[in-house]
Amino acid sequence: MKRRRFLRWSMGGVLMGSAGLAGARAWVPDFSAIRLESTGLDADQWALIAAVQEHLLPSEAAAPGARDVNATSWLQWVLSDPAVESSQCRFFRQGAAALAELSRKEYGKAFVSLGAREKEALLRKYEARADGHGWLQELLNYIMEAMLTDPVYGGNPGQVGWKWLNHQPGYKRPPADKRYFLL
Amino acid sequence: MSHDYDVCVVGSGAGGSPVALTLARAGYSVLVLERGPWWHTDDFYKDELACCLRDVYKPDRRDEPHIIELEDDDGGWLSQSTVNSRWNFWNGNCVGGASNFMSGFFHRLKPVDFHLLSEFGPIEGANMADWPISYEDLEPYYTRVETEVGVSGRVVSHPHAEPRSTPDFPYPPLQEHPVASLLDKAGRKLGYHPFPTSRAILSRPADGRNSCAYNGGYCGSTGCSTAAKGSARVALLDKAVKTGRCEVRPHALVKRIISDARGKITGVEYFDQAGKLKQVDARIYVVACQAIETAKLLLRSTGPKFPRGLANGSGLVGKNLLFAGGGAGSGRLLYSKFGREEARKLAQTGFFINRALQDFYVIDDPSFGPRQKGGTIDFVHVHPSPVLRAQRQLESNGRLNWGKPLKRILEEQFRDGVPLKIEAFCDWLPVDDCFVTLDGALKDKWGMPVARVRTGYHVRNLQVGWYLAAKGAQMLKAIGAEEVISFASGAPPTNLLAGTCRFGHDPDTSVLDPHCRANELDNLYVTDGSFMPTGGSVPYTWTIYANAFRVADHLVERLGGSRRENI
Repeated sequence: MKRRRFLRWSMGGVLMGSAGLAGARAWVPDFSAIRLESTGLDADQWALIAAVQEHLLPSEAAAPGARDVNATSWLQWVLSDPAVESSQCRFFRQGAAALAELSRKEYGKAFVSLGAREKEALLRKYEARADGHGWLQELLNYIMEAMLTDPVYGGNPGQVGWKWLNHQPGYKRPPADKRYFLL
Repeated sequence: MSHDYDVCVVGSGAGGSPVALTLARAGYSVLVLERGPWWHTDDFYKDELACCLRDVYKPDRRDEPHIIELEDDDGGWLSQSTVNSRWNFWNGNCVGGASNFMSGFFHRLKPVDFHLLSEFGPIEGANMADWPISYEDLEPYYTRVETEVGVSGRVVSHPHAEPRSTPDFPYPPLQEHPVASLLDKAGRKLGYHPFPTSRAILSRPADGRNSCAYNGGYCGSTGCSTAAKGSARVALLDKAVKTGRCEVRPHALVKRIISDARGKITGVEYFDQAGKLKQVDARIYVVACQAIETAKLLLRSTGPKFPRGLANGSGLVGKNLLFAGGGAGSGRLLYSKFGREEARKLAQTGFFINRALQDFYVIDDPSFGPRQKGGTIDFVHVHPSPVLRAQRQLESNGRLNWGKPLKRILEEQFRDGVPLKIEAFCDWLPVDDCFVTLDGALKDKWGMPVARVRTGYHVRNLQVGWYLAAKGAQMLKAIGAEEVISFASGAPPTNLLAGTCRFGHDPDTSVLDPHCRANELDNLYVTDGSFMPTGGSVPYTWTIYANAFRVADHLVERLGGSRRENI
């Protein structure tokens, strides 16, 4: 399964003219070509995750939010890496399903349709469960990655996260052909 | 009898590279086997994903885990695999080894470190032993490292300063962050003697290497993009290769050292990149894989005469594993306490703080107890890795932070002041419950037993760690830092490894002789940090480099002296 998924990734890379396709590490992320099914989460689950991410890190005029740092496509990229264990995808899928169910039980509707206060109350309720706490923490961890890693990986566009927090990047910054999975 | 090489070195880090360079310069043929890839300066970037979030420079723990044993509340030992845990005992897995990723805080040991047992007497529960050599034996080699590897700094006299044979460092100190002079002033007022921390980082270009690009605290965990950092790779191996007599073979993982029925080593067997087994032989074998891996290799290299593992007649291979004991602390210096211009200077993160205190290298404080060994306190920037710093703000008192409150916390932590850190180093006392063995059941992906690491510590580590960290905190408070905390921990720092093959005069109580030659074998040497019976209260790298140069000089002499003139 992983091998097949990997081959499809490679094919996508060839069609889009990406570089560096030799060897098992030649996994070149491309957000425009994210294959959601390779993560095992469906479109509704990704919509729920995007809504949770926006609640966890809302956009403000002077400070970027999850949406501004490509947090959702970042997580899709992470989970579509053939080197990522399937348990990691399952972890996010099961967490999304559990939160969707909690939302229906508490409010009778989908999480994405809730108002901000309802979302807050529901997520705090979910956080009180051991599985919910871990799931939300992992989501937050990956939002921080999307916000504060080098833009060459697709998050932190235009260094928006670095600029917000006055982070001065070190010398040298990684070029596209030296991203970690190509080393 | 002819051999493939004069010397075969297993491991290309701080322990192996001085041997490779010295022997190649002296005209001998050297093969260096390194299990990892050969990345060059152009492959290293300040990339938090690569260094710190995806651990690209280390083996995959799913393929090669360690089993660690942690003490539980009842004095028993809990075992856990390092797969999917926060523990990672791997360090640099590439040519140059972990020296590529060190911060390069370089302190020498002091004369007292060579004879702790004689100086302070035995400590109950600790396997104290004097070194079989003295500071005077090692001093010329510390000096050689200053020029060969490149150490920058400025000698400042203080009560525990070690003697030196040269007046000052060959490279001037690196540019300093304004916190350095604040610490100097505060320290003098307290009656202490802060001094510039010397660094294995070039402050001016030399030997084809550029000088520092000033990334502040970024050095640790990341490779250097200008070759200013004195990794074994740029400072030594590249020179060794240039002699034409040193071959570095990456992707070569040594399976075992083979010995025959007479107890003679007949060769080294290794997996190449394709996973095929290959063999080479040499007149002299030098093992330098870092303390845990060196012990593993010797223990799995059994032979007809060595059923318990190579060089393990004493049963001490893997025993007396040392980490580094100590404490830590932190604080934040708020910009709002300073004028605009001063605040602007404080906010630049490129230059180094580079200050240390060794006033308590020996603690002579009746309120603390009898005169005893203390340690070193370093003052540094918090590592700038922004994702890891942000992730530390995600939880307060068991509750997750998110939404606008999280954003305000991040703004405060990243924008309102200089985050400062105290790193206190004391001896990790050698104890029976800190050791490496081969696991009886679990195999790595090569089919070799994984290491089982017991991580017991002596309570003295904690006592001294708390003492030193509190002195560091006193300094941070004195410069006006806020939120100052200090603490000590018994948790092993996995990047500071020594012990497991202690050297000594008596083959019954040591693995190596004073030249770091294995007691039962004529032509096997160990030159990483494994040789140390006690580790001192500083990071190990300078001492590993220096000792490896010392052993290398012995090897040249033993092989018949330099074959070349004018070198």
